[in-house]
Amino acid sequence: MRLVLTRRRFLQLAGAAGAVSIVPLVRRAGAGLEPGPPLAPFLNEAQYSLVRDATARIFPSDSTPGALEAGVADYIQGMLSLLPAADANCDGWRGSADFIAVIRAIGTGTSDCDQSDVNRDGQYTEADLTSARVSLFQARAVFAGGPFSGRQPFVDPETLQPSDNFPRDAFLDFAPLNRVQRIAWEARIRGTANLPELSGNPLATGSRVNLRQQYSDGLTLIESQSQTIFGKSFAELTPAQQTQVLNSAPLRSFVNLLRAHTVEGMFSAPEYGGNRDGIGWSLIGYGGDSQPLGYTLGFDEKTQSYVERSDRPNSRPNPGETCGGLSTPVQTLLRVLLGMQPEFQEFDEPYCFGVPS
Amino acid sequence: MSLPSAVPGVLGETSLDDFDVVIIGSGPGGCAAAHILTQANLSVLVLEAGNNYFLGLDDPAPGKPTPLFGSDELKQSARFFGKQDPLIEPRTYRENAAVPGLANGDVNTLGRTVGGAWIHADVKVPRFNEVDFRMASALHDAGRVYDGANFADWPLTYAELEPWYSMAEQLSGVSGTTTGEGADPFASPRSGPYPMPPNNRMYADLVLSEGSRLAGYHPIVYPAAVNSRPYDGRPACVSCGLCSGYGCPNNSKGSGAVTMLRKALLTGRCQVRYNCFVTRLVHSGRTVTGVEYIDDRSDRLTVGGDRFILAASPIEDARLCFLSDPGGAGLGNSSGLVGRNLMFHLQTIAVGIFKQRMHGERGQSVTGGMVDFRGVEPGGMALAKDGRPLGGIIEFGTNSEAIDEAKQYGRQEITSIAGQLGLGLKQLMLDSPLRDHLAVMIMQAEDAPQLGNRVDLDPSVTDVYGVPVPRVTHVSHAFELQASQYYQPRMVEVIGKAGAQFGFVNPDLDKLGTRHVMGTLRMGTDPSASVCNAAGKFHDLDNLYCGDGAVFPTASGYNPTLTIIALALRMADAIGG
Repeated sequence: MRLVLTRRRFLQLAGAAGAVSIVPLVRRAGAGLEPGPPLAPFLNEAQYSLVRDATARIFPSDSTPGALEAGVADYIQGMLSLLPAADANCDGWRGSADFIAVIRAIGTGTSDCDQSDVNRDGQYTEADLTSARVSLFQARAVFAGGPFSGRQPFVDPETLQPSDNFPRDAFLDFAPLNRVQRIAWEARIRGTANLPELSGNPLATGSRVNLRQQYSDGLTLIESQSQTIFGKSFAELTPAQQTQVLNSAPLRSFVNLLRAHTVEGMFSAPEYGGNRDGIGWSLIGYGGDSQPLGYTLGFDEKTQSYVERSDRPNSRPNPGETCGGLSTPVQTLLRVLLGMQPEFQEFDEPYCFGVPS
Repeated sequence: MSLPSAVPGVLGETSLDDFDVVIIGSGPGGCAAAHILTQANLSVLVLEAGNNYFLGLDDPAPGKPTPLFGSDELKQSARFFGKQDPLIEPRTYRENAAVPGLANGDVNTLGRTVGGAWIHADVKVPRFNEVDFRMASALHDAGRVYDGANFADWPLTYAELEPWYSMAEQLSGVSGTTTGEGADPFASPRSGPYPMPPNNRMYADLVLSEGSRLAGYHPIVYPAAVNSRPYDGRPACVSCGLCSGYGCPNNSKGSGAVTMLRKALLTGRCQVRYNCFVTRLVHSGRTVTGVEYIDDRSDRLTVGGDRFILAASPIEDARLCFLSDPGGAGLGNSSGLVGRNLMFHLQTIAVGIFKQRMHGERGQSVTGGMVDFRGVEPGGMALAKDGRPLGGIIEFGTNSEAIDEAKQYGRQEITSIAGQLGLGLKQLMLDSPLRDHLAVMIMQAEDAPQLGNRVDLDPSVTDVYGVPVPRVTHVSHAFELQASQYYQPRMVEVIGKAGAQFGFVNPDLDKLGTRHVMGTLRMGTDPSASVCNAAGKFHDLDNLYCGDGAVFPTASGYNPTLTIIALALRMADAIGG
């Protein structure tokens, strides 16, 4: 059998297209080991629940969805579990290069690295590729692939309207990391203890590195603050009590971190684990990734004008959109916030250019 | 010839191992030089520190390359995809040379990827004016004196550069207009029209253009290397929205990688080695003999060549000159000017918050602007006779990023009112005052050159390669600070005329995040007052050239990239001819 499509895709990921010749699958003589269990994600069950509950307070659900529905905890789990998969090329790193090692082992029937036999069954087979993929995909990519996610179609060049032709979701790929990028992300996720390369960089310290430690410590602190303030576990508190715990002074820096990751999980591409089904984007009326369709669909030579998406045009407001303005509380906030800025003005007669009145 | 390359880390013809020219850096200048040199039948090696995200950039098949970029805010904005990561390569910064530099993750860092910084720009490409090439004389003649500023005339004129501007526009695929609505009355004479008509303009641009018109100014179509039609084998832009700061998902952005570098690679006379960080130039007397670099396996390698071009950006170019002469004054530094006269633009940002939604996630980030505040006469041949300050071109923009917006709501002055968590944050995201209701004017004011604004090596901070990082010393001059002050109320007036409810000026005048970096290897005719000559060659060396914005004697008030490309084309033509 030939793993043409899969191989090609993975080889491209490593920037090594064509580096390995395509050869038939062969089996190696097996040592008959038991299949190993898949590697676990970073957050354990209790920690995951805490993250889920705390992020639900940061970006709450009411009549509209929030962090809970968007799966923000899954985003955070995916980020903290970056690079935990089988090290199939024994280079000390986990990433798309490991796919290459597995493919090479399948193709040639040999490998310099025992871990290329990902499922530990004593053979280099497609099952190893599947295992590597499952194992890797407990983590999310540092950099998703591209260029298109498949959420939008190609334009029909004849009609200049959306076609039924959708690209595949390349955001599910892992874009390659080079050596120094791997070092940076290793530092971010797991700290610099084993990275002398970063010892001359004062920025590779503190809250910029070792997210796993910050989460372990921060989640422990949430629990202990709950006990201190209410004598109960965080999970047993009412939403208002949970908010009070998160607003307590000792949690200030961890909640800052958690809030940044919460909004990343709300509004990043769903392939990173959060923003489930684009729920965060829908909530705020945000288009998300629009390629390959985009908002300008082409130039019509007959009418000598650009054709735009009718529901979300590029050069004018949405159909039916009004000169509605901001909500009163936000206007009040802006007056306080902006009033101290240079050249601040609230204009007497605001108007909405191009919006039918 | 065997393309595409099958060797990891290498694009182009892998059998090449003896190079006529070695180029350090694959940004717009390096791409332009590679194109011209390969056209002249020279063999070229391009060394790039960053990764490659163009699959098949060296594959002759139509439709290539496949970019790994996408409209992905997390990857491209929050996680440094193709950009300089501060954990890998920090810099240090100080305003005052008497204090140590402080480690800073973003002192105008540029791209770390094949294609360089222009991959992530929204590729706005105005030309400089005629008067920009003789700014010292023009200021002198007008009796305008600025103590401490170090203005100089360029060793070439606008007229000499004009043909190269035209070629740069043709190669990059620039859309714009020279006639009718949106034409720039302050632009200097051109030998021909833009290669393409204007792209579809975005709503926020049209809103601010209306304000500009009502205030008595002249809104323009911003020239950009963005395909408004299919051009040179690349498709038209679809206004996908995440443009400034993003690689282009469909190659309609005419960044150097998909235009000039691809052409160079397909000749079979060009090789790109990426993930290769150059640590020094090896030299003897007036000759550079080789380049040392560290590859992705951490191996230290040396490659030789007949001629060498520094095109790694002004800060990195100057750093390499110092790294190449440990204990000495710096390679090519008999003038003492290497690293000096570093210039950014001073950005003044006027913000409007509007009742209607701007939908900033649509459109190419900036499609319009105005030049009335550059401070020159129509035609760009003289300073404004009314004596108004020299500001810069203004971009009409919006905010396209939702994650960035949400993080802004975490700023303490906002959380102190809205709370740091809960429905306050959610209401702000639903209302979206700082993204969907926001439109901005960004002025790129000219930054006066100063001897004390400079790059040298930091004595204590090293990067992931163990190499001393660049230390940037830069303080703004009254020249640009006064221009900013003068134009601020006028910018807010335009915002008001455009219909905004609120208008103000961002109190932080930005200079470290402008991505416009110039100077450090100033060009000139006098070897004691400049580092490079008019052809971009180092005065002190027979075979070392500079191919990027480091050679600019002054910064002008326009986005620098088209001028970088034009100069690099001209320089390479002189080498190849």
